[in-house]
Amino acid sequence: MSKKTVPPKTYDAIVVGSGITGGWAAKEFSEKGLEVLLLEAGRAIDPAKDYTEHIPVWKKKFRDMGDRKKANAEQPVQQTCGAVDETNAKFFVKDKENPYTTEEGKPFLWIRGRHVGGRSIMWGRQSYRWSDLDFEANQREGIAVDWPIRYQDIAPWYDYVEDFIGVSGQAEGLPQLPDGKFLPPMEMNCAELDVKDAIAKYFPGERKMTIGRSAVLTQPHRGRAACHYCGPCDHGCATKSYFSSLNSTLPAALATGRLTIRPNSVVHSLIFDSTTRKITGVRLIDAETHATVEVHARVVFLCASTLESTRILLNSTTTEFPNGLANSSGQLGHNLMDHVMGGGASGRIPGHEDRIVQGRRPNGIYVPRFRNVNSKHPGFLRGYGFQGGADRDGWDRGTGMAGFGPEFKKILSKPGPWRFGFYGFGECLPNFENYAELDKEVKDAWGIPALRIRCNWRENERALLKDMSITAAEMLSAAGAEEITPFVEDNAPGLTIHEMGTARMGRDPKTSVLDAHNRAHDVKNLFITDGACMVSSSCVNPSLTYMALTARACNFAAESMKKGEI
Amino acid sequence: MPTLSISRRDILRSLSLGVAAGSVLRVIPLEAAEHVHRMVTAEKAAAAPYVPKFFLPQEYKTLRVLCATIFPADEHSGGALEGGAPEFIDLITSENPEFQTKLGGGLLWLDEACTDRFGQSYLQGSPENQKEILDLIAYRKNAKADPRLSQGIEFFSFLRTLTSDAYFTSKVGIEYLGYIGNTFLHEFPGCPPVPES
Repeated sequence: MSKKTVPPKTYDAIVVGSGITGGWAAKEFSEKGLEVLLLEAGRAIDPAKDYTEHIPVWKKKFRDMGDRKKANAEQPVQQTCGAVDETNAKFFVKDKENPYTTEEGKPFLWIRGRHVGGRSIMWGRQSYRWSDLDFEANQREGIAVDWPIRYQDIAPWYDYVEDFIGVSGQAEGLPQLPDGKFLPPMEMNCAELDVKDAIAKYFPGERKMTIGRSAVLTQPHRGRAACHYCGPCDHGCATKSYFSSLNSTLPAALATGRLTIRPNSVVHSLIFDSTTRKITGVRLIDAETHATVEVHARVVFLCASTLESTRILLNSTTTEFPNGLANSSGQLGHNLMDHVMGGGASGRIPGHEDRIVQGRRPNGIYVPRFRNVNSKHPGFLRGYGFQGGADRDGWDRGTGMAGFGPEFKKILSKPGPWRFGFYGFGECLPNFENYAELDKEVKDAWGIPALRIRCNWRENERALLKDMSITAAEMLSAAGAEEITPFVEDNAPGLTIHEMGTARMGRDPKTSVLDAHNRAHDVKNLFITDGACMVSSSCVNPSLTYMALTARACNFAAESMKKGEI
Repeated sequence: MPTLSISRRDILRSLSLGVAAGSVLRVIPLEAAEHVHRMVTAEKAAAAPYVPKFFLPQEYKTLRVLCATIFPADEHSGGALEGGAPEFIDLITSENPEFQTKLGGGLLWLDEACTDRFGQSYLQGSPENQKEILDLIAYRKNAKADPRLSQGIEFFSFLRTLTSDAYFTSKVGIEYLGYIGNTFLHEFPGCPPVPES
């Protein structure tokens, strides 16, 4: 889908990164009549060859358990992500080519995809709006800096993005989780309905369970087919039923005839003109030939993912910006966040033995945040939401059972009891001491300095995790569940793959990197619209917000260019 | 912790994170309970004889017999042999030193235990002898009565897990479950009745 040759010309816009935000920037600019060059560090993806969602498990050599030897050798970090298996490991980077360093005993798991489409091919698709509870939190509590925007600034852009990508969900009228423009919701199963009813009965006005809001189509939408419930979305989707840039925004952008995609383009740094104090272009290394290439444009959008965008700026030093481009505030690289996940509980739901789940719903249930919403919790700030769902136990319960032979085989052919699980995702407070900087020694396969990442959970995150296990067990108990098993996991930051911050927005150029329109305070034609821009983390999945911010920033940039201000 | 509980990672993987559906072996069971269609084709294994990568010929023979005993074929469905369990177990064991110790050591233990009790190895033993020793090591509670069985019990439990993994991810095993797998469905019907089997 890419044009191979890049003519030596000045584009209107260069977008770095082709994932969930880069795809949006390419679409918005090209649809507004601008000539766009999209740079992607990784290879092109051919859906006909690279999507593997319908390969049956028995046709895979390792039966989906993964090629242990290969994974240990090539992807020791990437394989910690549960989505990685033997046929989609190609959507995750090779760790040796893409090193980063951490401090002893303080792991950070950086899960990355470098290819056209980026992580939008393997993302979780959960799509939730932020509310003013989130946007006002820093100011209310005196933490970090205030968001320069409020819900009303972004609400029309949520509408705009949802209308294009297609989000299925149920309107609930909750102020802390604003409703969107939803396609019909997916159904809950009977055990889930039991738990939903119990929550409504025992926690009225406080807690509520709804079906997950997912960027998966429940009816045909804008030329894409409805979901067919085959299940393994993170292997691609031949019917384009879930949103990815490869399935949706990039085809729209290419249809304008104004988009050039240049894969295998590893961005080294940005080119800064001291006279105009603007970016004139991008210095890249061709991943295949290792040749250095310069490309030029009037405006540059960094959409390379939170840590990659910041890394590019840290590696773009000039006499004016010795500590990284657009870093007069000294905030670049700092305030790294990730959602803290893994407190919850599971339990057996009695009854419904004559009912079963059919098909693989690529979505679960959601319990929106209820802590620190209407009342103040004494133990921690902010809150968390639960994902989860119910299913019947399958054959793997047999591995813990006794016996062998015909009777054993027969028992395992029958479904086991219903089991329900809640799994919490909590907000992470911004902290200057969680940061990434350039490593002085380690370089990647293209000679670009690697990041050194220092990030760890603190008291508030740990308190959220613990509370998750308690409230999850409470709800299961209310639903009459048996064998309730609360848990608190110890996951390293990064593993939630919601990393954000490191080039935050803000009103004051002295304390923030970007302004209210994602434009660098220091450089008028430089924008960052991926997760790097985030000022706080909320507890909801962030991708929908990144997309809305991107579309909004593109509109601002295009207007400014039209007026001659950029 | 109850033995039937889903692990936390299962919940995570099988629900909303986009990793539902067979990305990891332990997820399949949750979904494998989806009795949708009853497919009844038996796979005819008609390939050239498999040459084990790790197990010695005699060990591999014993492995095959054990797999077939755990999940035997019957007139309606294939068993662990038709599901390729011995080949699969040999493949992953050949790449994993920990598995090599557990299974290699376990097979040695089994033959020694049989020799002590019956004067001959497991394979040489009568069907009654074979059943007698498996009845001892297929149940954890027996270790309380006779701690010398512990290693055999651990071995058999591990082998049963691997055989289950292999069988229920094979074509015949999935057909036996009536699991439709990652195929095209026209709708997601929520909570239909369990189909008759």
